[in-house]
Amino acid sequence: MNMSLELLLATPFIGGLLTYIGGKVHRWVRNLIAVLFSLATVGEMAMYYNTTFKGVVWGSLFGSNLVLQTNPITWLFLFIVTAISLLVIVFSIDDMKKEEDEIVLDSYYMQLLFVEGAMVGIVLAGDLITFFMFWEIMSWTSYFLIVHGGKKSMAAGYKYIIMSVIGAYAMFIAIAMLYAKTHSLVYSDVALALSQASPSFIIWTVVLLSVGFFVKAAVMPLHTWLPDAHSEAPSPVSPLLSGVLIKMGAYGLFIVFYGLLSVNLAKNIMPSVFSTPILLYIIQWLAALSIVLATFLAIMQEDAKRLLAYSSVSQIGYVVLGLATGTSLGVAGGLFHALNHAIFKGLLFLAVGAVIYRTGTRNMSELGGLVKKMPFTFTALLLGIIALAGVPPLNGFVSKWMIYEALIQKKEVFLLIMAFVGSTGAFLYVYRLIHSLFLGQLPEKYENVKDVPILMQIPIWILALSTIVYGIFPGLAMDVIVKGMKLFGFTPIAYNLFGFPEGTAMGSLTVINIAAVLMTAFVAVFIIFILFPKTRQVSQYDNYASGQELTPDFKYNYSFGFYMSFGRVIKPILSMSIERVYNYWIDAFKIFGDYYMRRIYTGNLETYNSYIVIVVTIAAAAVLLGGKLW
Amino acid sequence: MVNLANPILLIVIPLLFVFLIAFSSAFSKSAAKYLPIIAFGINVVVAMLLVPEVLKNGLVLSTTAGFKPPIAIDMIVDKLALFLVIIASVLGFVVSIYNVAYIDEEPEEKFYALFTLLITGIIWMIITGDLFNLFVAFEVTSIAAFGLVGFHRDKGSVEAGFKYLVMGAIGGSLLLVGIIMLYAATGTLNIIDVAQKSAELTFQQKFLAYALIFVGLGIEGALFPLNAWLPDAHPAAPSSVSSILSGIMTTAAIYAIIRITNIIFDYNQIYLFLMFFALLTLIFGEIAAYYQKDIKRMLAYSTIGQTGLFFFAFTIHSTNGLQGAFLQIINHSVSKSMLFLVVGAMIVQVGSRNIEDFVGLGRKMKVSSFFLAIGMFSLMGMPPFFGFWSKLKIIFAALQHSNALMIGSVVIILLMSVVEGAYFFKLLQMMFFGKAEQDREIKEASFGMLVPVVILGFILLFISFYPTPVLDFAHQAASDLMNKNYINLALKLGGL
Amino acid sequence: MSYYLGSFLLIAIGLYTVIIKKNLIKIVIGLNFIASGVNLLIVSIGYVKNGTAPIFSKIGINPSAMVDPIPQALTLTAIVIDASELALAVAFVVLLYRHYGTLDIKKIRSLKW
Repeated sequence: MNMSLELLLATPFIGGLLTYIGGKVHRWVRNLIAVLFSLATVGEMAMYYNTTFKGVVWGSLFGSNLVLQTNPITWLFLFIVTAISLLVIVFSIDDMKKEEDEIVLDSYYMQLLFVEGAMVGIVLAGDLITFFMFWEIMSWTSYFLIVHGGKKSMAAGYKYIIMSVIGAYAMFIAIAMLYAKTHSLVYSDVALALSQASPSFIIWTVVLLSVGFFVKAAVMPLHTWLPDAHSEAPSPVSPLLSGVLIKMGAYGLFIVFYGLLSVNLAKNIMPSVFSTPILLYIIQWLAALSIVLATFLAIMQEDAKRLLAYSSVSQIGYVVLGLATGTSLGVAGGLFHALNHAIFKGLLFLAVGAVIYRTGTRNMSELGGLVKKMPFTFTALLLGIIALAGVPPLNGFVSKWMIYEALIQKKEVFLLIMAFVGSTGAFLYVYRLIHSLFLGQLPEKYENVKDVPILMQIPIWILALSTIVYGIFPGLAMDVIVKGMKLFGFTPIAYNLFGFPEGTAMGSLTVINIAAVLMTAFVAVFIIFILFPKTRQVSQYDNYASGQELTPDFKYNYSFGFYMSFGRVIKPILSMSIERVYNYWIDAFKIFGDYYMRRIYTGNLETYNSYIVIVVTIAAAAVLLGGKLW
Repeated sequence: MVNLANPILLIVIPLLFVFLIAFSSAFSKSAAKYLPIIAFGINVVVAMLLVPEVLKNGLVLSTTAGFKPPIAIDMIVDKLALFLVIIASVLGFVVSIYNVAYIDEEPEEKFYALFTLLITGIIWMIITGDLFNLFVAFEVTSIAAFGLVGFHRDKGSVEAGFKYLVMGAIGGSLLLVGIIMLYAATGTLNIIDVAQKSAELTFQQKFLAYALIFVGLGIEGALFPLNAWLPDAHPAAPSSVSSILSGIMTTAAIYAIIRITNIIFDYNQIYLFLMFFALLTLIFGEIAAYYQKDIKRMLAYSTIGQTGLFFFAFTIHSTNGLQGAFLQIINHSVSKSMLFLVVGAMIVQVGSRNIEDFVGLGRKMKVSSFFLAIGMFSLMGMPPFFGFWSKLKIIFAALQHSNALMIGSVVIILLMSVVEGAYFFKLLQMMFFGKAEQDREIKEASFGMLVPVVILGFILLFISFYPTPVLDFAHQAASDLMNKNYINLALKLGGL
Repeated sequence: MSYYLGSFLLIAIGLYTVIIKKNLIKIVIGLNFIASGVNLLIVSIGYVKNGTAPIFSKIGINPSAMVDPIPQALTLTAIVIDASELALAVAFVVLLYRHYGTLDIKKIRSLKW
């Protein structure tokens, strides 16, 4: 058991190094090693899946003791990390072929595996210092992945790493404060120490830790790096970032609030609103704001990947909202949504990546009508957006339903409304996405576009099937989630393979029934549609514009400014930008540093000498004043 | 049988070589190139031989001229001094190798003589047990450094050299006045003896002397606002010299401040005062570094920042803080010297010190850039590199005292780390992912310049992935210093 | 006492020169002032009124009546160091004049910020 955890942790790192070396031999050797090692990680993960190791594994990597632990929740996240990484690596093989410089590719795969290893480390970490170490490794390795995306990605990556570092250092202060108190950072010791600490200490540490996680999870006021980084990163990296990396923030929040600080303790030290501790309540509001505002922003995007990036901010809002409810149903919903979001957002990013691979653009107004050319990608993307919009029977539905149910049980009407608004908005932007990419008029230059190569299709297929599997059988995931939450002191919620049986604290839900109902309705509508033909199928060009016949070279279908009228309505909201506030402060800081601080070094020898004399004079004056420094 | 584990050899052998080098051109033109390598090779061996002795006894003391201290001058190597000596010798050895390929400007033998003298002076400063000897070592180091900074004899280096000289000379004089005042008060120059006798003096009596010593050493040790020479001198010097200046010389001066503060002036109030200096040094260094266009100037300002960081760790005034300080010293010495060496090799290829010209270098000079990245990551304190452990120890040690001052300082340190990350990442991303406008003919650095970089890089990687011995050793050194074992052991061994 | 005053005065004059004077040569002279002041200070610390040289030249000399020999030895070393430092400084002045064509330190400011 001990060895296996260390092996699981070491596999991606060793794989990364071997990949780089393999790249020196031949690119196929490199690709093979990368795939094999990520496959091996998945294999190891599967071998020990769902085994609980509550104790502490003492490894001794890097000189300091590496504390590892597992519980079902870690397996949930490990599953997300390893599976998506494997798919991303497989997808990369063809997608990254366009990069000519082989050494760049070598380092690309190395960093991909390093990011995977760092995330495995974060999830397996059993104490805060191990956690923090891998957290930092994840930050800078993923930074290198982001800047692979070309010229614009450099600014995005820069913003990402600076914000990550700030967030990480906020965590660092909290960890150091905890260490000063406990002299041990193993989760159980920290939890024990926190249960005896003063309220102000607890609030400070928890807030500082949360700031670090909020940056990575892109919760609203700290999200500004995400839209840039996720849209500018190479297409195979975006699913890893959006699907997995930001989940680490959610995982961190889970560990902090339910591993280190229990809900009961939180209730004791701070006032409660809607029977939620005030801190968690504030987080709920931040998450809800993320959901609504990011949805609005996503609606207004012209860039397909940027749309998906804002959608990630909004969806991670659901995850955090669920986690912050503090009830078993809400937390389970949040965790489940983390898995679901990883699946469908990974799928969407890969599908959009496939489109970009063939067309070379991600500007939605330049695309359209690809459904005939890339039918397979279209189908996958369709499944993805259905899942994202939360329509049964696909997987987004169940987790969102759980979060809504949790909010209803807590009678938090405003948050519920905001969550619904986000969900409705999601319909708008996913429709925009699929319409602009696949429907409408096909630009002439894409006449020869084909569907993507098989190696890129496989990951998309796997993810597309997963949306169905986890949608119809939510029990598969609830298994680990419920088991794990029991360990963290939650009352287990009843579940079965197809959903949630009747008679528990909440309403019953069986996805397959709902799906059956929906299917029946769909079939009925379809039959009606067939039986009563009122429409006649015509060619796209069987139409007139300004009295002229349409020809393929005439662009009649514009998808620019798709929701312009809606945009006008929400304009006052969109014009607010937290980024401007940040930039203002950064500029102020820069000006202050440039014009006041560094001009101490005037280049003038007399000035320099007088500094010396001033210091000596101050010292002498201190002596004359009786040796008192103040 | 000569006992090779004798600290005096650490000074005497290189000094002998200084003379050999100065006269070597009479016999062979190229001998001067290789003599420093031999000198510091021997030094590394001697330092390594000292390791078991120091670990056994806690301290090695040797006297000169057959007298006993405090009359005779003595050399004391305890754990702290030992690891600085090892760093200095190894850096001297490695940079000497680098010099062979790097220095092509006449008069070579003078350069090598001064270079050897510089490192000898640094080692001398570290191991001396006598205050006046400290002054002499300080001046030897300074004069060698003045000469080396002006070695290129072009506009910038002459100006930097002159400014450095004036400030250094003032600093030396202040240091001497301080030492003499201590002598007047106690009647002895031996550090251990002064420590014992000054215990009877009051705070006020020692204060002015201490302040003058502090200012004198602080000028060399790059403490704000006494460090104005540094950002001029480090870029102006040849890169190999900058590497030594940045890597170990400022550190040696800080080491002297640490030692003197610890054994003569160990009052709680003074640490708050020093912390003020440390934080100012950190803030001004890092912020100024952010705006630099000249890569060596940027690294020089970063040195100021790092110096502030480890000086801050010292002013926490606890064993853990000192441990953090020593770890940071190791980290800074190895990483920053390596950075200067790499940057020197790059400047040779690029022909410019402007950061803008380093665009796309990551693809042309792969090995160099790789080690540059490692060094920068270590300085930023990114795991898994060694800088992470030192920063971790410093922050943990600082927050052991959970008062507002310490928390404020930690916030400042971390903010400045962000600034540091900002300029290092700016450079790294430009080098690795930027594309140059026109394709330039840039080759990898020559083998002779790559070897030292790789040696230092592997040392850094080794201590990054296996830091346990270093952490333990630093902890022992720190607890020795905190408990003033130094004085007790020296009294026992030296028969004072 | 007057020796102490004199030496501190010398140091003060030297510092004044270094800070206020613009001419490179004068700055070097200022450094020399500081150095001389320090040397005078060192010697005067070891001074004993009506003392003899620290040599047992005659039987029955009380060591407490001798001047302290250590400061004198220190002074010699310090003088040597000062001399070499000043020589280097003057060499720099020559080179600076060649490069900048001026001895005004205000104009020698190519390195800043």
